[in-house]
Amino acid sequence: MKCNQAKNYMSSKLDSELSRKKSRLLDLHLKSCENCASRWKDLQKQEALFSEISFGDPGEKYWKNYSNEFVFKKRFPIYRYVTAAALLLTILGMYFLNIFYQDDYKIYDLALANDQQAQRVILLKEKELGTVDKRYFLRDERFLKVEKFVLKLLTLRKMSDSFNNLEQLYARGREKHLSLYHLWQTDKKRSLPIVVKALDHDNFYLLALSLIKESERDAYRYFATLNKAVMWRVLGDLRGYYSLMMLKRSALSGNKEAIRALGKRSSIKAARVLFTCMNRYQIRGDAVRALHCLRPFSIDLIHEKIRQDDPVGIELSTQIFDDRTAGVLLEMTARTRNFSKIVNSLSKFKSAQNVDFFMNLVPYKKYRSLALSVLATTKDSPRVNRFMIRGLQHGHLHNEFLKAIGNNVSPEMIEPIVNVAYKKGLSLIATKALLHMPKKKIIPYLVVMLRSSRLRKSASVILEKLTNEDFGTNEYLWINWLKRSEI
Amino acid sequence: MARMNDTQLILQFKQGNTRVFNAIVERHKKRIYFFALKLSQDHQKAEDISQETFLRAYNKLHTLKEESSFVPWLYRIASNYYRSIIRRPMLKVVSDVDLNSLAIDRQEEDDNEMEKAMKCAIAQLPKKQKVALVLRCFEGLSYKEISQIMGISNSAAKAHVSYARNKLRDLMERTNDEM
Repeated sequence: MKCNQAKNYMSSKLDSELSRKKSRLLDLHLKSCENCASRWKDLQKQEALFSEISFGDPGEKYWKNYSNEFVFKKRFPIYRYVTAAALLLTILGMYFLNIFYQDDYKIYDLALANDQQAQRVILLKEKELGTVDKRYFLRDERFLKVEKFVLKLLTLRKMSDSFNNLEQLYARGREKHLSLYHLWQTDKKRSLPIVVKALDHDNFYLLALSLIKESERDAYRYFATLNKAVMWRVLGDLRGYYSLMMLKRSALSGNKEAIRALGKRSSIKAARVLFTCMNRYQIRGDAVRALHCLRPFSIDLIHEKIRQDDPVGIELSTQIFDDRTAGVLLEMTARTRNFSKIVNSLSKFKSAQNVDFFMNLVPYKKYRSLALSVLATTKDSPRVNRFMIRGLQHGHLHNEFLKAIGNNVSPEMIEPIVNVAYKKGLSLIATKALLHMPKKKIIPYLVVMLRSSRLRKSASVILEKLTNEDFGTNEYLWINWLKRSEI
Repeated sequence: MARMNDTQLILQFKQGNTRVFNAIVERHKKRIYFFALKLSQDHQKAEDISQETFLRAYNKLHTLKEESSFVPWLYRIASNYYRSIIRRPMLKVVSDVDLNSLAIDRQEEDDNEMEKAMKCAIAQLPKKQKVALVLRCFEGLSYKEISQIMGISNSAAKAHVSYARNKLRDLMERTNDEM
């Protein structure tokens, strides 16, 4: 037995209401528990004390006067009179109110018939007293003809039932936009599910969205009830923290809809989320497309990443860039650990800024062919041409220069190439480089080349390709043809 | 009138003879006064409770259906009123009566230490337990009557008394230790 139970048993035993069995159990417990045994003794003493204790009699004098002190008389049942008076007043009030209301209803009917003056009176009454019976207007869809007036009436004062009335108007009226707006203004929390539901309809989308932007935190719980396509659209159009976090979670778990929605958000925060998505191979393509949509925010972010020497940012710069990107990449060339990536990225920008960088890069074997091909296709032609000609004349890198020049169609280059062509081992590659030059300019050079025993064969092949004539290696025939032809 | 029992007196009262109520008061005034005194341990309050009890009884006696349960009904009124006044802070009324002349004060001096400790401990009990204990141990009512008076079940009444007895013992022990 536990001590708590023993306490109850002791009380019962004092009342002589404990059964024999329980009494035996209690005795057993008392033998084993000193505390309870002492308690039992105290309780017994206490019980004896109850009968001994005296509370003091106030004396005979007091008792004699006791009954005289109060005179029994029926207390004035004031509450009965009060109740009766209240009832009477209520009945009278109802009677007069009824008279007033009858007058009121005449005005209501006038207002429903689009009487401007009556409407003005009702609005004034509602504003000052708030006693207009609004349900009268809502009954049997009476409001349909004067919906704007009824809306104005309902929103004049915030009453306990104004929300329900407005809801009724929204459900059955025509001015749904206005009703929705006022529903929101009356009680944001209660109207949230209704507003979220309105997102499903294209007509209400913009209004509902602008309302939801005000309390995105509460609204985003209801998004799950929306159609999936609409949900992603909404999340893309919102600008708050909660929707962004929702998109982030979905995007990182590989949801492509979420990535597309992020692309619509036009903020650098969304760009950051998309940038983290770049680490996942499966969604990289979608993330890049979304980042494209996010320009210029994504470009700013990429510049930031390039400055932080982030390889992903450097790679992305070839796809998403603006006029400043080349400059940012160039800045980084001096202190980057991803030099080859930067060079690759820079090679995509055919701007005059890069020319110096690539010219300086030519002596390095690793980057030479890349640098030369960039230089050959760059737009800053006079400077680059001079550089290329110098390379052809003095350098010992004819081979690589010639390969790069293959892309350059500047006529200034013809003469240096022809000069190189006479050098041993370079005839074939040099004549191939000439292929892309303007026909009119190179044919005389090729005809002259026919005199050289080394160049004769390749020159005749190219002449045949260019002119579709077959005079073989005979120089005179070609000269005659040249004179006759209109070229 | 003195020969009539409570039931007869009440029946007469219900028939319109309101004077018989004085006889009822005479018969039960001490019982209710001392009950109130044990609960409140204050003469002023006991007087207030007992008088209010009889006033309420006078006004509501016509609603009493079982005349035989008049005494528990009186106890119920008294205990309810007691519980209602200790719920709110009492306004101190300066009475014209010279309280020093009352025998209660003189006798208090004679109270032995044990009784003092007991009264002090009773005053500290929670109000429901206090009412149950007083009704059981001082007034000697059965648990059925206590449950009627307090508007609780029989077992709840037993539990209240048991808790009160044990708590009283603990409080007494603490007081003895302090002394």
